[in-house]
Amino acid sequence: MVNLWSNSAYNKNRFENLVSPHIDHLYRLSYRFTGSREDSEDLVQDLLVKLYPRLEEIEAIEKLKPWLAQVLYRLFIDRTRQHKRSVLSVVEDSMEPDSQLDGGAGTEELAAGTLTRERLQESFAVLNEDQRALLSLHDIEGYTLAELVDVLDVPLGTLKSRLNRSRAKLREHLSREPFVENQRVNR
Amino acid sequence: MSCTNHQDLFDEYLDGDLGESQSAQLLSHIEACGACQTKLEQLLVLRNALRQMPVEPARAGFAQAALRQARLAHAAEKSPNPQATGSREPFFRHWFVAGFGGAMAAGLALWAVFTLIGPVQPISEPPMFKLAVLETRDVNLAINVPEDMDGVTLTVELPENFEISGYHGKQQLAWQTRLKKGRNVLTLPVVAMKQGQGQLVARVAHNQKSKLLRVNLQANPADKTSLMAIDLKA
Ligand SMILES: [Zn+2]
Repeated sequence: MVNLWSNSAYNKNRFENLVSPHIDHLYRLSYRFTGSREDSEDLVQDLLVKLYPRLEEIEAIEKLKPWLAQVLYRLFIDRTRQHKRSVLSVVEDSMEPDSQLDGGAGTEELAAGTLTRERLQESFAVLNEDQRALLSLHDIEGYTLAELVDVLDVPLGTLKSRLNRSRAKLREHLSREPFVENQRVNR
Repeated sequence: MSCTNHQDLFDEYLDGDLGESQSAQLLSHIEACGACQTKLEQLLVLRNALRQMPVEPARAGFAQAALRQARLAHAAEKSPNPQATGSREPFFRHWFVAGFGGAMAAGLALWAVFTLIGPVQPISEPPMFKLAVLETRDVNLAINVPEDMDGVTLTVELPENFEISGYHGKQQLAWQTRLKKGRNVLTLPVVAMKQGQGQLVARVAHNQKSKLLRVNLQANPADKTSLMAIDLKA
């Protein structure tokens, strides 16, 4: 059978068979990272272009899903550093709270269900790329810490403290006065 | 073991990566400890809320188109024709436009390009960006500079009916940064709070020099999609 195909058609099929089942997941992950459809499509597109010549390497990977997540994550971080973060960013480092496991503010709102989806998304967008990626991978998409030690190539202890810092920052931002603030000032 | 030690194991516990005896030990502590119970609850509540954040689906046919594009890019790279290899970036853009037509144009971030120093193109009228009330759109300001610059002060002033996402109630933001030689892009996620018009003014200052970038903003009545976002409040 194989002989009937040209070499490139054969490669095409091998690549597509391996990668296709993961594209939805990769797109979703990208969307968590970037927060926009255009950027996610762009990122996944870029990933596939970079992976295509690495077919033989991909075929040798035992657990393809976390491996792909890793390549995607690195590409995302590289791209944002290149294009944006190293240049200009609105997020000031000083905004990062020091408190580690401080649950505190924002949580009641979360529990009571009064938090708008909008506000959560807004706060999520305020995190830096690393923090957003980490929460996306672990808290949202369910990669375990053990998996992420490999994916992100970071020791477990560091991973935990980063995770806690990201959550604390998210809660800290959520705890700020929501939209009602303006009305209050006016009265 | 202290509460901090116990709380340090929460993630492994929720990941299902804690051994049986450790899990049992952790659970018996949590049952007896109100503080740890609360912490675990907070963790779960946040996680659930995050998981409910929606994902806008990719455009129909995206996966197939992206796979095809990967194949074509690879073929172009292998080709001895230098024109094919040299045109990677524009090639992508072209594909997006060709593949999705108007849909892409509608979703594009808004761009305003400025030159900080050197030959300045006179901009007679600031660019006008339109968005719907409660819609967030990235406004990209591209600033060209002739050399690396440290200690640049950036100030952004917003008209009263607009905000930068994540900076509620702040009509002015200022921060220090550095600019690299060439094109620097500042992405501002602008939210329209109320219907109306106004001007966003960004000031880039370095040593004695400064440059004002002006962008006109117009907030139109919310369409159906934005209104859905409000309904979620309750
Ligand atoms: Zn305890």
